Amino acid sequence: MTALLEARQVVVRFGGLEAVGGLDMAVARGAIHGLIGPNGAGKTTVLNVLTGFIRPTAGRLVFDGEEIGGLNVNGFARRGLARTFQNIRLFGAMTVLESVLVGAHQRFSSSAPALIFGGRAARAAERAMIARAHELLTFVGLGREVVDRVATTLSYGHQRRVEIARALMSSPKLLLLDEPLAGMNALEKQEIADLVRQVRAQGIAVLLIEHDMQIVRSLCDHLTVLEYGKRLADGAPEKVLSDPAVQAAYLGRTR
Amino acid sequence: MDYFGQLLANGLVLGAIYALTAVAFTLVYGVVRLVNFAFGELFMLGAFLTTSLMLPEVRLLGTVVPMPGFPLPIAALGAIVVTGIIGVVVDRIAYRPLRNAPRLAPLITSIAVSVVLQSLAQTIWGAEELRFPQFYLATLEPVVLFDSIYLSVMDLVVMATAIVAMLGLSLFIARSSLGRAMRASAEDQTAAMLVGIPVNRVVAAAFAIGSGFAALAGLLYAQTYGFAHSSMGFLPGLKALTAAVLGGIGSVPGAALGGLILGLVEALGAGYLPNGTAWKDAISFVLLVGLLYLRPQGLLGRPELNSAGRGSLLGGASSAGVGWLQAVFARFDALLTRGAAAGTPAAFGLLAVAVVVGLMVPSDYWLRILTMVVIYGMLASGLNVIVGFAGLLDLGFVAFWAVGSYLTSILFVLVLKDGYGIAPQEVWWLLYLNLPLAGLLAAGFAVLLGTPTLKLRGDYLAIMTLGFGEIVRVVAINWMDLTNGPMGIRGIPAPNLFGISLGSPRAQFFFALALAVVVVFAVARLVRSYVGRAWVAIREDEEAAEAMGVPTARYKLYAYAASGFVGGFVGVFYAHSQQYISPLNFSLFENILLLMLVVLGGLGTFIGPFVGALIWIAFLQLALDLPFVQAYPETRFALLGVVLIVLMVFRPQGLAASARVGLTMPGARAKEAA
Amino acid sequence: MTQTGPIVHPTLHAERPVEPLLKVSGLSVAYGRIRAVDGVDLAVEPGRIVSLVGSNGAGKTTTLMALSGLLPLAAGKVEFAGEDITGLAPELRVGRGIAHVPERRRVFAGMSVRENLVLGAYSRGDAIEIAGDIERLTALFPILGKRMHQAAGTLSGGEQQMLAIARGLMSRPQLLIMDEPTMGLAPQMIDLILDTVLEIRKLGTTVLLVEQNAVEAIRLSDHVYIMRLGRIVHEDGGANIDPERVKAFYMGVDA
Ligand SMILES: Nc1ncnc2c1ncn2[C@@H]1O[C@H](COP(=O)(O)OP(=O)(O)OP(=O)(O)O)[C@@H](O)[C@H]1O
Ligand SMILES: Nc1ncnc2c1ncn2[C@@H]1O[C@H](COP(=O)(O)OP(=O)(O)OP(=O)(O)O)[C@@H](O)[C@H]1O
Ligand SMILES: [Mg+2]
Ligand SMILES: [Mg+2]
Repeated sequence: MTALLEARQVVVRFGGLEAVGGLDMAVARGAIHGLIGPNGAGKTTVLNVLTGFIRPTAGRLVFDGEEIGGLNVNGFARRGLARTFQNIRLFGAMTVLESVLVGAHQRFSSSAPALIFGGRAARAAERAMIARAHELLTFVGLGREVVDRVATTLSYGHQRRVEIARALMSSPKLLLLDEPLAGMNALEKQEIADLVRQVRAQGIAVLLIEHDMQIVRSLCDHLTVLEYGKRLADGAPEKVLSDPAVQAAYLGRTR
Repeated sequence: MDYFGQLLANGLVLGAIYALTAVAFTLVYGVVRLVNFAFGELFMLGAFLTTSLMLPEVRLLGTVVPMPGFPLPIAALGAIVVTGIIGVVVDRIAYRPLRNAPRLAPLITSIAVSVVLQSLAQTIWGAEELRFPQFYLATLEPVVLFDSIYLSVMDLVVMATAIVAMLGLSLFIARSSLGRAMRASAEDQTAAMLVGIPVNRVVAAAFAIGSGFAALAGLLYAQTYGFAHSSMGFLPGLKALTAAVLGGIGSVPGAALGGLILGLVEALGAGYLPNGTAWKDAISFVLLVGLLYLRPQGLLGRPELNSAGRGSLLGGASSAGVGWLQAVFARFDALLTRGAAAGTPAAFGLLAVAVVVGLMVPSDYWLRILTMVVIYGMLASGLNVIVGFAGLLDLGFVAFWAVGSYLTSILFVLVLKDGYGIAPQEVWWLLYLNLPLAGLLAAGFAVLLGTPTLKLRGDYLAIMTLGFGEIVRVVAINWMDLTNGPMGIRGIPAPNLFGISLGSPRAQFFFALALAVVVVFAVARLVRSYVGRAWVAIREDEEAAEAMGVPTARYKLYAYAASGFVGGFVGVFYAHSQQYISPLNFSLFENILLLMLVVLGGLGTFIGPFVGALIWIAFLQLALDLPFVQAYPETRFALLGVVLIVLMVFRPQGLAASARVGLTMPGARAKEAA
Repeated sequence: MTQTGPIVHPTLHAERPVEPLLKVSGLSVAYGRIRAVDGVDLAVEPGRIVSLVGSNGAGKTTTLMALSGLLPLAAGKVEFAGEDITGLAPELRVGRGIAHVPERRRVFAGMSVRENLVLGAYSRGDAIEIAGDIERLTALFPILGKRMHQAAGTLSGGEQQMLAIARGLMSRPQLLIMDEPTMGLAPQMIDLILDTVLEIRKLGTTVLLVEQNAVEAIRLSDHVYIMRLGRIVHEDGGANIDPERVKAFYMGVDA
């Protein structure tokens, strides 16, 4: 089986600094793929490349058999790559339901006159998406009581869940999560980890950046370790995490 | 060479003055991310204060008052210090309470402050020019360079002052601890407080220095052109803002460069282009628009400043005000929230009220005023689409309105009546065709003007669209064959249906009301769908919206088109209702007024634009009846400015902000709940 | 999680009653009508590490923001070094010796690392020693030394966190308040930060720490407060608290 997403020889330079240097990486279909590495290793940069936020200085991206390097950001999203952000970026002043519906943007197609004159198809699409939004909100563990609250006034953990629901709303093939567990306690981390497993169970592949090794070990099918923008190790979690080079570069005494 | 040299000299002097004022804009923007429109008026105060201090006596408030007759340097110093203090006071009263308010609130108060200062100056110094006195330096022989360029000693003084002041300031900002604190406060006020920076004092210092620079520029201007006048600050203020943006707002060397370029281009353009003086004002804006298109952050600006700016466009209630006032607002908000939640029934209720009012009001005078309220409410609703929902601060909206008004006027008057001798009554139906036609034309025009702005954000976008608006206006004035120029177009027929004139004030009111129903209905349907959600998502976080699959560029253009459509559509009716239009109807001031109405009423609500229009136009009329205003007519606008500042300080989010609109299709959720 | 490594267990002067450096009584903070913090009492004795733990939305950040004057109090009193500082402006508290490393870092993004550090010392009069302090801090966080002239906003998440802590230390505070300093850090870096906390205490600085990472926080604290739904629900010496019991506190109603 071919990989879902393949990055070949990706290079990102910021002025003189080479943040990513010739990275090769492949995310398999239906897998939870962990991307780990010390702070500043270039993980977020890679994720930004994989979602079109940063045009790599060099290299190719192939997603689902198609070259996607030249697309703009919404093009990446339309092909089926959905993401969350390291610093949560929900739309202020929008309710939870509305924010989640934005994730389904590409699935609406009614024309302006149809919207203004109230076409039946337009209404049906809206209903269907609202129903789906409710499903996904329940799926990520948010109750009906938060649906009409302004998303940015929720607590941090709940905002994370809204972000995940919003990303899932586009029915992506690959979900990219940048440190979704940061700032959560052990219990909440476990809940989100379960959620990620359920996402995989639906056939959606996940790329996960995370620093909590317990979770990474139990959750990921495959790991890529970055250091100074280069691939330090790649493979099954147990093998990678027992690699002395990885332990020296990344793992601390307590984990 | 002779001619060129002279133009060059003029350009350098003008450039120095623009540069000094631009520094004021840039400095304050750099600290609080606020375009303080009031600097134009502080510029004017600097001129008046210096002139007054130099004269032996001045007529103030109609009575002659003896003055000290200081020499220029002392008078200038006094004026700079006093203006600096005024700047700090203005910040304290009108801006500081709004530090955490939505971003447009302080922008609106800054415009109000301008209005207040200008009408106060007019009240104090009168409507005539105050001549700048003769003094020793100005009587010296000019210096001759290259045998051909004559520079007066004062011209040299102006340039030298500008250079010294700007070098000093640049060094100060880059090197001094206060300068660093200013930049830190600009980045993140909370973090700045946490490291021990007294943010309020730092901001006050920026205002003091900026106002001092504006005053310096103003007095040099008065000296160069020989007079001070209450409206002298407006255009140089606008040009200086342009210069600041051209150079990259927030950068002091950028402001200097921008000012210099603008001064030179204007002087040379006026001298060499055919009919150059008439087009002079358009030149700077063409330059601005072109440059921002190629380089969105300005010449020396940092790219990251081309961002939506800190803080949301909406939200952020004020905590100002005593308990009972807050309680009143809370009651009012609850009502609005309930009304907005009710949606359609509430809209019908309001419509019924409007119909009853239209039937009951006996006086034609008040009916005309109410018609204006509806027209301005509709126009503000159009602006609200682009500013309130899509979050693009468009200061060129009047151009779309002008397109509609001119289209119908040109067709009815210049083409059919004057060209073919066809009486308007015979083609009464054309009006109804023109409404959608002008809407489409203006929408197309909006997309055309919107396209180059796509890379711009926040305040840069505002300035670029302002440039477009001004270009359109200058064209309207100068393209005599098409628009009749400044004379405007007269004799536009009143609306007419099957030969029945709808010219009576009552008929016009209902006509306007019917159009308002159409406008609000169409806008509401678009906003309460995936389109509106995409707009709001762009407003709140463009990159995140893009990552969710929203083609943001296309949706921004849709917002321009929708907003342009409303502008053109309403513009048609406006022309027929006024029966006379001229470029004066479509000035920057009108655009700012519309923006004010939206902010006052509540951005991103359906009712806000109408609430804003109602309050504003009612105040405008009521102020006329005050005895004080009747005694000093110039104070009417000062009073309104004060009212506006008070409203903004107490309700920065707008009066009807609680009437938040849902962004899902009405009815689509009713079933789901069951 | 095993306790390895050299943790100095710090109940040395726990028995001797000392005048607290920071004393908070009856602290309440409201957002509109919602009381996010309700009648909190805290005492932080000099030379100690005190931590405040609790799940998402418990009100920890709100408490800290109120302590440094960023949020108005609905009720209560804050005393520092024997003086009532309840109404004191935030910028003046820095001068008194309180430094706050805020949640989500809040570095000055457009300014260089060096400028951020210099600004950290804004409240200090002694310009001469700033260079020396910067040197000491870059010895502690070598990455910062390498990034001295890079704009802080382009640092990686972990690098920004280090910068935020270093900036807080630049004021030479008596009390350092840290809000989730390990959020988003790699395991090795977490160890470094936590070691740094001990180091800071050794130099005589008192630390008030908020952490999601309750196990680690409890391990190095002299005293722990557990917060839930805006109230302190439990407090005890660090050694007496069983991390497993903390989890029970987290779970309560609504987690
Ligand atoms: N715009 C930029 N300009 C210059 N350097 C940058 C820029 N963006 C990132 N960097 C640098 O690139 C490196 C990689 O950053 P990145 O954010 O990808 O790290 P990361 O692996 O996600 O780290 P963390 O785990 O701390 O979030 C860092 O050293 C950072 O300073
Ligand atoms: N600006 C705000 N407006 C309204 N409610 C708020 C605001 N900020 C926080 N809250 C609410 O106050 C409560 C306490 O929030 P706080 O941020 O202090 O929690 P925390 O303990 O720091 O949680 P976390 O571990 O997630 O950072 C939460 O319920 C939160 O939803
Ligand atoms: Mg990262
Ligand atoms: Mg917190």
